[in-house]
Amino acid sequence: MKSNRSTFFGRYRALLLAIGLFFLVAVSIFAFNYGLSVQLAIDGARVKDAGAIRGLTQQHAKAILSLSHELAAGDMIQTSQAQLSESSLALEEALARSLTSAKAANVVSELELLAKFEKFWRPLAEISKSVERREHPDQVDVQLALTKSNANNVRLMQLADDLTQMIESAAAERTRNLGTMQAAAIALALASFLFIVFYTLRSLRRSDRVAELARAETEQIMTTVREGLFLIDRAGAVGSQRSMHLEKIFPGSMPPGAEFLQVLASLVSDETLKSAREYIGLLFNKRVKVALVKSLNPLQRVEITADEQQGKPAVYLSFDFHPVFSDQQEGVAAVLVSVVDISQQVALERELERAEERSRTGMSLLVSVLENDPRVVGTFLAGAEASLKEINEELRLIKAGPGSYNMLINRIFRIVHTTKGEAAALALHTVTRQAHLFEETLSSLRKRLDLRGEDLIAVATSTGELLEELSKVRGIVDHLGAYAGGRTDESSATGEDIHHTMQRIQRLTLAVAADLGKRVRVETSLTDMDTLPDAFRRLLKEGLPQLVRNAVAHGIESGNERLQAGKTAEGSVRIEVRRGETGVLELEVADDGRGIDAGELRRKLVDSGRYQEHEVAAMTVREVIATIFQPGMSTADDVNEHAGRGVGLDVLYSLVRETGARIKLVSTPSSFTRFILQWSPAL
Amino acid sequence: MTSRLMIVDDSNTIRNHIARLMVDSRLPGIEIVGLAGDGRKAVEMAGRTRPDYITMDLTMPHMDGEACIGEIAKLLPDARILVVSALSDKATALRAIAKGAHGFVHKPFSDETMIQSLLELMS
Repeated sequence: MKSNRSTFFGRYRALLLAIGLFFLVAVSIFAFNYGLSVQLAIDGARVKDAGAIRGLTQQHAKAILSLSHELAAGDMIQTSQAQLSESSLALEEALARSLTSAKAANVVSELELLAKFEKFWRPLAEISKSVERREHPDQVDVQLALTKSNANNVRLMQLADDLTQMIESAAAERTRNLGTMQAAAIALALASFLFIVFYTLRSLRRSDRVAELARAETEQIMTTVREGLFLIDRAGAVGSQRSMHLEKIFPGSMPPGAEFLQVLASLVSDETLKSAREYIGLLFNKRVKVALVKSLNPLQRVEITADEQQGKPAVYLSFDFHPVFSDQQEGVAAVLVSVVDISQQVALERELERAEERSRTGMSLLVSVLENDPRVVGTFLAGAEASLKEINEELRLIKAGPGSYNMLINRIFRIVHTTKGEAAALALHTVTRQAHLFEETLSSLRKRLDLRGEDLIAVATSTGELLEELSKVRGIVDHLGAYAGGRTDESSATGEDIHHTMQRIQRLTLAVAADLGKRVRVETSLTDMDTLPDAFRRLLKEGLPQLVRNAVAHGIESGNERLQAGKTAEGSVRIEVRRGETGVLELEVADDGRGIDAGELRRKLVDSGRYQEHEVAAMTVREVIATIFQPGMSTADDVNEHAGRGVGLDVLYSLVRETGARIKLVSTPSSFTRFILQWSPAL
Repeated sequence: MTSRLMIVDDSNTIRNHIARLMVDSRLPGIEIVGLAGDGRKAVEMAGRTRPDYITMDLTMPHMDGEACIGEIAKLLPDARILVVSALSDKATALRAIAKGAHGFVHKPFSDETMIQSLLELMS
């Protein structure tokens, strides 16, 4: 405040001095006028006295003359005597006043003149006194007075005239001087007044110019800046100054004085609006550190939905808020809002994400193909593509009727499931995912008994999509084939090394375990694997993936479950291929998981509606366990990529039958499960 | 003059991490006066140790951060509170700050972010 005051006096010093001078001069003029009027009154009185002296001199002379005539004629003399006495007294008084005022004014010439008058008057006054008081004055005395009066009268008159003239001219002189001074004072007052007016106008014009410059600058900024800028006050009202860019990017209208959040209400979700209200409230709170809450800004990136913009691409805006402090107000006076259109940026980010996703998928596919023997991938592709094309053909030729539809769907399901298993074993995740989606479509159809022709459209579409994924893999394999000089010759693909198959299976086991959040150790034991018949190779290639998936998904428990059961957190899956004494080939997959609980299985059989309670009760343990090889039977509680469809063991069972093998199952609840596939030429 | 800091988080790892960060960064004059793992303990400890600064998690057992901030703001009106929480729920964080906190840092945070935020809180 102190500095404000000093700058105020500094800036307006000249103006304040001029105003002070003006007042001083005005007061002086008034004082002057007052003095002048007093002086004029005094001068007037003196002139009047001087005139009176002249008149009284004459009156005195006349009274003496009358007295002389009346005395000679013997008339009554009292009147003349009284007149004489009166004029003499009045003259004395006037003379005394003139003397006093002359002494007060200290005018020497006037005093001299009065002294001369006195000199001529005094003898006359003495004589007239002796005449005027006596009842019968002496004729001689009257004659003497008359003679004296006649002798002095002219002189006295002359002196009185001179006095009058002298006083008058002195008064006139003084009046002239005073007038000049007054004129000068008025001129001075006028000058200071003019200065005040000039100075004020000049200051006004200067501050107007500064304000105009500032306004022009603000306007330049507001029209040029590539951001929407405006202020909102404590009440949430929008200020009058807004940048021009705001209109371009903000889809609604934001007139000055409008409530910001109300304008926003129709453009963002209720939840965002609520958060925005709370956030802006915080910015006005002096306690909150603005730099420390920036990340909570709910409008940092907001999709604006304007009704009239339907069909246009989404608009994304970014609002930034800065508190504005002011000298006049305690705390935050307003909040400066800056708005930027980030739609392009968002679109670019999305495009980048998509590109990254594509390249990730492409890369993972490439890595998968590279990790595998290209010939194996080629064989897989050829088989899967052939099966899917067969599906297409059958979909085209199928005879109408729910029965045949259901049969076809079940057949397709097994094909898709096998494809998924093989793709997973080859770590072709994109194919696995697509096959899984296909399965979901199929399983919803499988549950229905009223299938119609149009339901198969979805199956045809999914078939096309899965073929599409396969063709992407085919593209990569072909590219690699071109580099490797045509190594993807299909005819040689059947000879995959058994050790290579085992590596693949090991990878699959670990991948399935990782997907399900389980920890698994895989052990393999292979003996005498030099010459394997094709049928057994097929069991390894198609059956083994199903068996290990089954072991990890159904057998091995979660880490917590295992610890509670007193086991190690890490489960174990053992894969063994061996040749028995009688030349029987055996493939065994054993896990130390939860085993198969016949009681639990009985409950599931009833719950799934496949069997009545009494039917299940009548079944032997062996019969109950055998149901797990039935189509659509699963012991998993929910469906994921690896379990829950009840297809895996169904597929295995078909495979075992097709290859002429035998299947053995040994299990103890809470302890282990062992699947053994046996094959011998004799069988 | 030392600044008394209390760290409130239900994760032992986060508590120790912030505490270690304060020791390693050698910020002058910061004294860690308490580590609390839930809201109820935090209020009790705040009353006893009277910290100047508090880092506060939001999701905690017994008493959540929002309620805890309300209690501490009543108990120690001059204490400055920094909410340290996952950004997934902005609305909760906003409410917590309205209750009496001063700033927000989202988990996971870098060491630099945490130190800068604490300096900003103390400025």
